[in-house]
Amino acid sequence: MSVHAKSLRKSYGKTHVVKDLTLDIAPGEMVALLGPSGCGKTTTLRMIAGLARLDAGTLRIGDKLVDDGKIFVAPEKRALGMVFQSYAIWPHKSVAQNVAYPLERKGMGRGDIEAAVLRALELVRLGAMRDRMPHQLSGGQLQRVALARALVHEPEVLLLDEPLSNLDAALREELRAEIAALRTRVRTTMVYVTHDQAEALALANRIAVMNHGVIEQLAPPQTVYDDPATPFVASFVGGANVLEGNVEAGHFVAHGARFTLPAETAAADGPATLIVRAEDLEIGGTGTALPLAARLFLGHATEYRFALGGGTIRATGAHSALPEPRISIRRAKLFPPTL
Amino acid sequence: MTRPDAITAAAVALAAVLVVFAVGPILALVSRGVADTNVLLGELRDPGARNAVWATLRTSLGATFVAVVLGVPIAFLLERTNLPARRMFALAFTSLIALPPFILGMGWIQLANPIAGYLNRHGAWVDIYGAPGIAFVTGTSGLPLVMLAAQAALARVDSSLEEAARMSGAGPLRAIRDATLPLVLPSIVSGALLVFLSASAAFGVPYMLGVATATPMHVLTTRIYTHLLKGGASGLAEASAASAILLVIAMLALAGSALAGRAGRVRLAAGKGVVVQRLDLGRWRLPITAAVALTAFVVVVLPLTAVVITSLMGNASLPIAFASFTTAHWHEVLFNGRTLSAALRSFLLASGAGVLVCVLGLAIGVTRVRISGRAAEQLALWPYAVPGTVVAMALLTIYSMDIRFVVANQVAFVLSLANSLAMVLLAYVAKYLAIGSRNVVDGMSQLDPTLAEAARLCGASPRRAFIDVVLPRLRAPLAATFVLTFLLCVTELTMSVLIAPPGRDLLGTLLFDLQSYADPASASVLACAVVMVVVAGLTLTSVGSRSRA
Repeated sequence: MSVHAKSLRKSYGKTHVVKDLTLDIAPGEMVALLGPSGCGKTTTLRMIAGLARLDAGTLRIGDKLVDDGKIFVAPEKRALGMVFQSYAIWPHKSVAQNVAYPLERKGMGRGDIEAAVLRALELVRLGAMRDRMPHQLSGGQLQRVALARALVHEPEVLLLDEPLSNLDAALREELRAEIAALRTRVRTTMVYVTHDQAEALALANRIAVMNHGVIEQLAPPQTVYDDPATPFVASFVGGANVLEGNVEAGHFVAHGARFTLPAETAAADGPATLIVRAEDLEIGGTGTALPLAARLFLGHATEYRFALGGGTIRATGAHSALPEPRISIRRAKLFPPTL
Repeated sequence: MTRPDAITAAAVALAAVLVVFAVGPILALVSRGVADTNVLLGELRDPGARNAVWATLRTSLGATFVAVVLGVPIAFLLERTNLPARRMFALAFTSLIALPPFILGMGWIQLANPIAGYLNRHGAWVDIYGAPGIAFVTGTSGLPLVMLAAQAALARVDSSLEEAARMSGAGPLRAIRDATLPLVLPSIVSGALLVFLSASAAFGVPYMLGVATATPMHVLTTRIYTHLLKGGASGLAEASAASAILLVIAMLALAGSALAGRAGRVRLAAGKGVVVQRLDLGRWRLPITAAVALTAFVVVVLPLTAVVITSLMGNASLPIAFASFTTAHWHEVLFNGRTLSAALRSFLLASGAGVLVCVLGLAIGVTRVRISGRAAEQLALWPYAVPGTVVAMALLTIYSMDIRFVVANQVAFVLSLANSLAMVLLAYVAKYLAIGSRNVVDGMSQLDPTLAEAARLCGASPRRAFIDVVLPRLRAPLAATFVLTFLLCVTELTMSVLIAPPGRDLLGTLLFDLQSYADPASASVLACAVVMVVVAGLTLTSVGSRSRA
């Protein structure tokens, strides 16, 4: 089922949390809403769920209008599934009772419910845990119960609100792979809220990068990574260096340092914002000399931090005990000045 | 979310009910007490009234002192040290909150009345009558209020604060005083003011230990009672005036408590991730344990044992000997018609009050959460803070006449509450409603809101989600509300003694009558039975709270 959000607006008091947000999600697609905390991604998800009402705009699920500020379809009538950040597993119900609940609400028969619950639990590899109580489960298992409960009634759209953020790093990676594997078996439309770019890049068909209540870029993961639409997207996804300075005859000057721009990054002279990823900086050779401020061994590479202005500029390269403190730009992108 | 108008309407109706039955009468009483200036001035000028105010302040401050001096160190030992048998000690001291204070008072009369008290058999050791005795008994029964407040605050203060003081060169006691005490002080003050409040509202203990003696001493509550016994319009007017004075004292204490509580809340952390490291008592462990055990023995075990012994001997003035123990009059006291009908009435009233407090508390909780209307919750808190004597006086004043409601010029119904058990029920519910609203609101605010949201996403309507998800999670607070309300009402004396219909005893008033006028030994038998009910009720709740997963 598709989701169509048109010009959604939502404010709490004087804070405009979502400003004029438009987003169309195709059937079977998985869209990630990615952004820092407070960017409006969770509010957007809650409006789709019906847990928050819009101030203005229209929201359709499939071709059914579910909210336009006047007409409002209650969350239980929207046929959605949702995985909460806190999991929201009811502590007084067993695993099977939790998963059975959406089917009971549908008025399904006992036998059918039992079969469907078992199928859903098998899907998340929890068949053996059906009679456990929630307090007997680990965080990762609770997460799987939440997933099974959200999928058991075969919802039109599955909403996931930071589903992995309460797990430790190893478990997060494991469940990320599991959700990816699930995508090959369940062709439900999914909306996935996260602040972790790795999750969004790994799982989504398209990523909506959000900041201050607006979508800054809506594109497939690779496009978001390789061709960020704004300096914010570049720095949030992939953690690029953002430098404010001036273009002067094929060079970029910032804080007194002068970098040679690659040929394809040519631009007219004048103030500009330069975006360059750490791995797109070459260390040593004939580059611009800068004082080395720190060296961090990351395992697969080493990150070097060079002092520039009041801050640092990051470059990654092979590990070397004493690198030549020079950097040159291999690939970069110029934006109009942000200030 | 849906039908907010219906919920708003329900909230308004709820608030109206509370105004008519709980808050309104109190305001009416105050205006009546103040309106008749001559009576009020007469009461203020009366040396008897001034003595009563003075005695109220003296006994209440004394009780507060006893509760703080015992409660704070015990709280620290339980919460912050490796004191052995902490659970048992905590249970012993907390049990005082559920024991009717006048049963403790009965025990102390039997132990320490100057003529024949068990402790005074070999020379006059202690005299429990008079202001110091009243302060001691009400103070020990208020001890858990201070102890629990201090414990709750201590649990939220990270031990690393104290350890930092130790690393800076402070000794263990010095570190407690400089690092921990300032943080928990507002909570202690707030608990102490609650003790003051309940001591100034006490009736049974001051009556037994103050009025029923050779040299009677009145506090405000007993003065109101005797004014009312005098009867007539003048008696009622004088009682109203004295009630207004008592209310002023209570409100001042309450305002202080609210201020202290607010100061405490600003300072303490949310309580997440607080590390509590227990202090090793070292070679002091044994003597301190002995001191705590002795305190528990004196404060809890001794008075209850006295009551049991008296009940078994049938006569408090006989020498204690196992040979004279008999359960013969147990049968006599417990299975006579007067006791049984009083017990039945009290059980029914207390059960009814328990159910109504739960239902109204739930209604208040829902309006509070759904439309964040605080009015009903605030209204419910009011009568709880007001002394029981004043609540009873208020209901007496306003419902001593029939009130006629006419609906749409057609149906008229008469609200006739005077001299009925319905008025007693009303008083119980009005007084203890705050237990329900507090427990339910706390329970609901601790509830993860996504639990109900998840049910909505699973296809449940708002009502369905409430029934399936919210209500089961409120089972424990509702059970606690019912048991606590039941226990407080089943032995209630302060209000019952003023409004119980003549000739219809309740457990509290029967106990009071037997102890004060007739037969202390029979009173002891009844008191033992009451304590058993209390213990059974508490055991049920603690078992219930432990079994919930």
